[in-house]
Amino acid sequence: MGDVREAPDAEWDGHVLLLHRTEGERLAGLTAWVRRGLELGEKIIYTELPLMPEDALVPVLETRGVDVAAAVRDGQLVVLPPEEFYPPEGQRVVVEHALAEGFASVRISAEVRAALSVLSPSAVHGVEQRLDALVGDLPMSAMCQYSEAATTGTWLDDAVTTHLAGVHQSTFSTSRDLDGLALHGEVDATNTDVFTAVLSAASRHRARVLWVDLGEVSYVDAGSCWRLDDATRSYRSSGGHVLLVALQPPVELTMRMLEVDELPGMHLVGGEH
Amino acid sequence: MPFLADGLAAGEAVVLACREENSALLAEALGHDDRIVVLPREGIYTRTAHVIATLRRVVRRQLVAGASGVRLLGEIPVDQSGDEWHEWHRCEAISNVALGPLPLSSVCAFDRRALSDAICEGVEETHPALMTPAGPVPNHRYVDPATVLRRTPTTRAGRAEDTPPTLQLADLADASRLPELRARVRAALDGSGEPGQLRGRFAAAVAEVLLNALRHGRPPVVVRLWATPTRLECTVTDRGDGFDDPLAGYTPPGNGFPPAGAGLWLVRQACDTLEVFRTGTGFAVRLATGLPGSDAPPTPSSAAAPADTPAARADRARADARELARRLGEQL
Repeated sequence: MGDVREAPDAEWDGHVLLLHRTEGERLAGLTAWVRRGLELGEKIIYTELPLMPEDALVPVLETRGVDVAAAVRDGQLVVLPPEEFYPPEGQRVVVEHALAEGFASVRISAEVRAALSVLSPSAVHGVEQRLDALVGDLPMSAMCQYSEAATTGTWLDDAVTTHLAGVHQSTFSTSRDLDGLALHGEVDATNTDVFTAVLSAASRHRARVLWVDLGEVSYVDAGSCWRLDDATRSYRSSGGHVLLVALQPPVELTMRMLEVDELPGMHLVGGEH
Repeated sequence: MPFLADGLAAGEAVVLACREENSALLAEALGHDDRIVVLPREGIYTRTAHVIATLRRVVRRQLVAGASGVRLLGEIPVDQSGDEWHEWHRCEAISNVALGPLPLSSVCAFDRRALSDAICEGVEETHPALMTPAGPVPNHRYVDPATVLRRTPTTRAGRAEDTPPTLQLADLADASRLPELRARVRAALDGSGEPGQLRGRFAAAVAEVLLNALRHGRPPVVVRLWATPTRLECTVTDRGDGFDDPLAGYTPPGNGFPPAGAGLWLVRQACDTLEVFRTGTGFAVRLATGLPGSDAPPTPSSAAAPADTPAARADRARADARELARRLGEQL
């Protein structure tokens, strides 16, 4: 009951952060995201930097078996130059224009490199914050594509904060939960920075109780248990409580061996009789 | 008795991990004080890492309950056979370091009449003080724990290394492959039967050692895994110099980034034995866990009611968590 996702592909709805290590990962995520939009009959608006013709969105999708000819012909799938995708008056105008064409909902996506070709880094952060609010206001989804290698430190913290319930990394993701936040996948040294950023951001947004559903997390390594402590220490020391809910037995065992359950303000609720 | 009674008088808790009849006599003599905790020694003294983890947990809980410290009286069940005694000899040495930071005073009780001279010497060299009728006195025969560990063998019989491995992963150098490598280790272990929890623990231990090798060692890293009905064994080798700290993994992890020692802390608890040694070409870590025989009765976990599916367990956890969240919210 805690997970509000309605279908497997619903993970591509809402405000999604696609953290990719390789071009293959990026294109796999982008293809799934476009497929979802086509299935829902949404208007899909994309922007990209000038590329070699074979690397542009439409030929890439066709190479991956997505028939977009009709969608392009009917105006359901459009690729705008970055200047039009990020107009001075904001992206609300772009989305409302698409809705006015008669589409029930809209999805937009860009690589952060495309955004940085027309905006400063601080302006990109502002756009992300406004986009997060826009996704809550309008019938739309947005997917922002960030290279994992280039997204570190405060840049990672900012990116995760504005996409808290839509982080997608190759083996780890987040989603909204009726009671808080749900995590999915495996947490280890390859993504522990993302895991830490998610918990830090989540604890900044909660007043008293931070609900973290781990029902779909199948592995957590020892180092990440320590990062879990560190990321939430400030929140817990100021009276907050972290509820780690529905842990799978191996994850719960690891956390107990690492004494996570002994931390003040940390509660492991695994469902044992 | 004075050691324990003085502790209670000073506001400390008392933990008894003795033979059942002895714990009962002591508790009675101490007036069944509410601050006395009796632990079943057969459940505590199983493996060194388990002893340490359990006592750390017990001490912390007594502190949370208001005790100013803890006094422990323990009777290690001494098996005088070679391997078993070596394990407890090492345990006694390690306890000095692993439990040292805690507000814990402990007395290990031995019946000298029942022990060989060699074992008595081992006991003496691992305790910094000796209890006498007049109270504790410094023990001048005490030996530094690391020295004890270096000269005490950890070798166990029955190694599988002379047989073809169940799984071999060679030429590893890229930590980004960890999720895939973990899946292959799990698959090799899952295919070898029950009990699942022991295999899951072992898989977690292998994953931590592999991460250490990829992060701190020198490639190529090689994993060899043997899964038999009675034993799980794994060696992880690399071309680096490794480390030379016999206490690694017995002391709690540090607070750095990444936290030094967190992985080995888990590994020590997750498998029966962890050995580290240099080879002709580099460094090796060997893990092993014994499995109960195939005719052993099912463990409580493997005999769980079939109705308790993962989904049912998760739903129950979420219901429990909502109740907890409600109570925590009311405390505002």
